[in-house]
Amino acid sequence: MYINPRIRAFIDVFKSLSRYGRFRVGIAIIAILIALSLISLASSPRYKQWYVYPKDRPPQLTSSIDMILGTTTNGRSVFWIMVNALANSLCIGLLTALIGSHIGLLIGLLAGISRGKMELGFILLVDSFVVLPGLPILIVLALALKQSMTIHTIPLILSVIAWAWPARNVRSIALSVMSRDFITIASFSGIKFRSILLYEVMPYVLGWHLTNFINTIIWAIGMETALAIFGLSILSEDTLGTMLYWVLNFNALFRGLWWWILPPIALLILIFIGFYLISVSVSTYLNPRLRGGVA
Amino acid sequence: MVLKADNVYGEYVISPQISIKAVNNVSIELKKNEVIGIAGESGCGKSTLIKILYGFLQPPLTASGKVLLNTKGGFDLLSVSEDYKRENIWWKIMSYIPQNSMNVLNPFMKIGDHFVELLRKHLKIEKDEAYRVAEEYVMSMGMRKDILKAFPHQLSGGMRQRVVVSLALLLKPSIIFADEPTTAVDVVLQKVLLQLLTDKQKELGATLVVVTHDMGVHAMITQKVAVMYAGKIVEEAPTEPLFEDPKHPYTQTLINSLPRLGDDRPRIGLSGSPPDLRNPPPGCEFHPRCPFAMDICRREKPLIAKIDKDRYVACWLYVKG
Repeated sequence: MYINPRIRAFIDVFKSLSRYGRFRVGIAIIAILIALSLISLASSPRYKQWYVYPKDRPPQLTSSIDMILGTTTNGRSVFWIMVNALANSLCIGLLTALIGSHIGLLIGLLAGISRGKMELGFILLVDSFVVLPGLPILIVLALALKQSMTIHTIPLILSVIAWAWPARNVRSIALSVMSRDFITIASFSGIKFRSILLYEVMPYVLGWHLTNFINTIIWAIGMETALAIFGLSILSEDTLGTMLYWVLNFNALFRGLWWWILPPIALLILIFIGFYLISVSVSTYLNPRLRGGVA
Repeated sequence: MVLKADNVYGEYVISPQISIKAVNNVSIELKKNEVIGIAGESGCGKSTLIKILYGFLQPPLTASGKVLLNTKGGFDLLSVSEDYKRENIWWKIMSYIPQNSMNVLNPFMKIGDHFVELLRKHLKIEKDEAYRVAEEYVMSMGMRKDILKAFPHQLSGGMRQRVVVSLALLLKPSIIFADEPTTAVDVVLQKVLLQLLTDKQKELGATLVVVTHDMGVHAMITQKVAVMYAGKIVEEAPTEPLFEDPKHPYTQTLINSLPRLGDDRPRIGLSGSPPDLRNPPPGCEFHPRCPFAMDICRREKPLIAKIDKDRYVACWLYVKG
């Protein structure tokens, strides 16, 4: 059977990655979470409305499929809230990582290869964003932009802060790689600067970039949760953060409604663990010395 | 004559106030099929001289003078554009074996990719074909072709150095610069490596320039040695006469410091250290450490005295008044 070589290379990388137990566990967790979030596509629009489910009864665990995790004080199904919140949170994390870490990669590389005044300018820019306290800035931004916030614009707000650390990271990696002997030799052997950047520096940087990417997903989901707990996220939409906000708002903890509290907490922990395990195994794989065996 | 440097100066400009004159008025000629050694202690400008002869000038290094390359009419390496050198000269006509050659391979690339990258760049051939060429070439260098699939860290240090030497000789250059090719290697490997280098040099009819502080290496493979001190060539001579009868006081102490079989006199080292190249001493740079320093040495730069055929010394002792 003919398989496109690029796809085959991708499959090969995946196969060698799946030799790591950590990677297998991580990818399994993330796969389950993604499957869960896909269920949200099947949710009927009416689940969003309050009081659809009988409200004359107190919040309870029931046995119907619709309410496998019980209902909230408003009579909504926790299960449907959960899967939708998961989908939204993953979407926020992914979009932030796509925007923030790639801006970081670009600025970090430019800062790493520029010299003189350009370099000073880049360092000033990156460092000012690194030392800016993230949460207060985001709180102010969220307050100011609350009216126009949607699930798709929150990542833009988070990206204002998210790019700085990846940029600092990529810059330092680029600087370190550019000073290695093999870069000097590559330029001695007549290879163009652009090719050196693409073929010699990039493999190093890409490994870190991937780690940055995954870390930014984790960071964004956590940051959105933090904002939501202050009531600054989009409270009309379900995310893991707003779910926690309503949990706290309705004192679910003191009322013993554990089926409402545990899902968002468990999912957050699972997201962190899953992405962390993938990030660690990918960065191990990317370094041929740590990869082990003859690849 | 394949390469000729004429009154070359090399300077590291660090700031408008500070500049290090690492190479000072050096003239040297490289002939075809010749092994030339450049000797001298650390910080005397050997590596800088090689960079200038190679035409590789990157800030903060600046150079003046002329480096004439004798191919296709000949031109000045220091004045042609870097793009031209990159396309037509580097690695094709001149190649370079770096210091610490064990550690110059990219740890993220397989050995084969190193070869393929160079072949594709310089011969403009496709990847598959380049890989085949690399396989044949590696076998002709006496290595197994499996090493192309290995990462650098999977090879031994000696193997890595052979790979680096093979990479340098890949396009059959006519001038090979070897910058301290044998540092950080044990003596057995030193011999193997030098043998490989000289064999290939003879095979290609190339010029080999060996830069090292190790006088033993010079004695073993070079035909001509240029001794550098503080950015200047203080003595230039065919190897044998140089070792038998060194003229310049600095060369004398260098040679006297070598251990000899059956000679158990204690070695007397040279006191002091090389001068600060930011502001070198007036007159002859060597006078503060020279046992024969005279009045004139402290005042005026020494003239170059011709002792014999192909033998030059920059020292007042040999200038016939």
